[in-house]
Amino acid sequence: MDTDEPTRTPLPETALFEVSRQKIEEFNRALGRPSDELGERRAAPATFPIVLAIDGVETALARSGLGIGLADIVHRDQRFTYTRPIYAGDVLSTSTRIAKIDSLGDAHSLTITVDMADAGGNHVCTATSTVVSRTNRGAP
Amino acid sequence: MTDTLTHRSPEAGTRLPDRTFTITRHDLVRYAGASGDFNPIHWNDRSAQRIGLSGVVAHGVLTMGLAVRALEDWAGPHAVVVDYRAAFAQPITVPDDDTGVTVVVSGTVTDVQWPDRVRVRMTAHLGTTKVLTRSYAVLAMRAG
Repeated sequence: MDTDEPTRTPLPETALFEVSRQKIEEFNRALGRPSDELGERRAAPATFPIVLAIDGVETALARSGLGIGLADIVHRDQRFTYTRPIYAGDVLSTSTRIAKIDSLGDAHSLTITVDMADAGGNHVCTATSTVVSRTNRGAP
Repeated sequence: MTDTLTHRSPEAGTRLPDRTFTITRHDLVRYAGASGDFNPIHWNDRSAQRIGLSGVVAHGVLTMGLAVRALEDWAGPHAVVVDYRAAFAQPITVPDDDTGVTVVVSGTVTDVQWPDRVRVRMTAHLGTTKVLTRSYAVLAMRAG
């Protein structure tokens, strides 16, 4: 089964996300990069928007009607496309939609896009995540 | 002002220096907190085994983040990533010990349209296993 149906219903926008210097530092530390190694780099690391995208993925799974949650899936593919970098002080709004669902029996593949815009409504980044549910639940 | 990427004069075929990163369970906990990705397959063996994995696995986007860290360090602070993609070919199982696993990140410049676009193919290996595939990043020099 391959359906375009989900694309027609964007999910509700989430709360505004205020990007703090501390959150960017925390994310850099989680990549093993202490703040004193950042030098002049101010932009958030390219994978930082996963912080916003994960909420979108969880929301999309809950709304998919497939009966699966975060614990049932593995991440297969990820893309970040930017209009501009993310900086501390940005206030981002997100818009999430399920772009694609492929199902084969009880195995599902979902592609979820999360668009992020700044306070002026200008596009900043789109995170596209493809996640797959694993079929051998309960297998030994 | 340092403009590392300009000084590197990248051309197609230029290879980034390989970078080696260690991932332990401690790193997974830290990354879970920073990213907000609390999928229990990244910290709980029972949850990982329930969906057919051998044990706790690293977040794919953590590996992707380590790879882009290598790229950003190479390119310098005035280059920005405008597009970055990866597929997670194989899960990275992270054992419950103090040693963890070692991932080697490499990159090769595949296309240069200066200064708007430097395309780099990224890979990451765990031993001989490729853990990131179909991965590329596009860098641009930041305006202003």
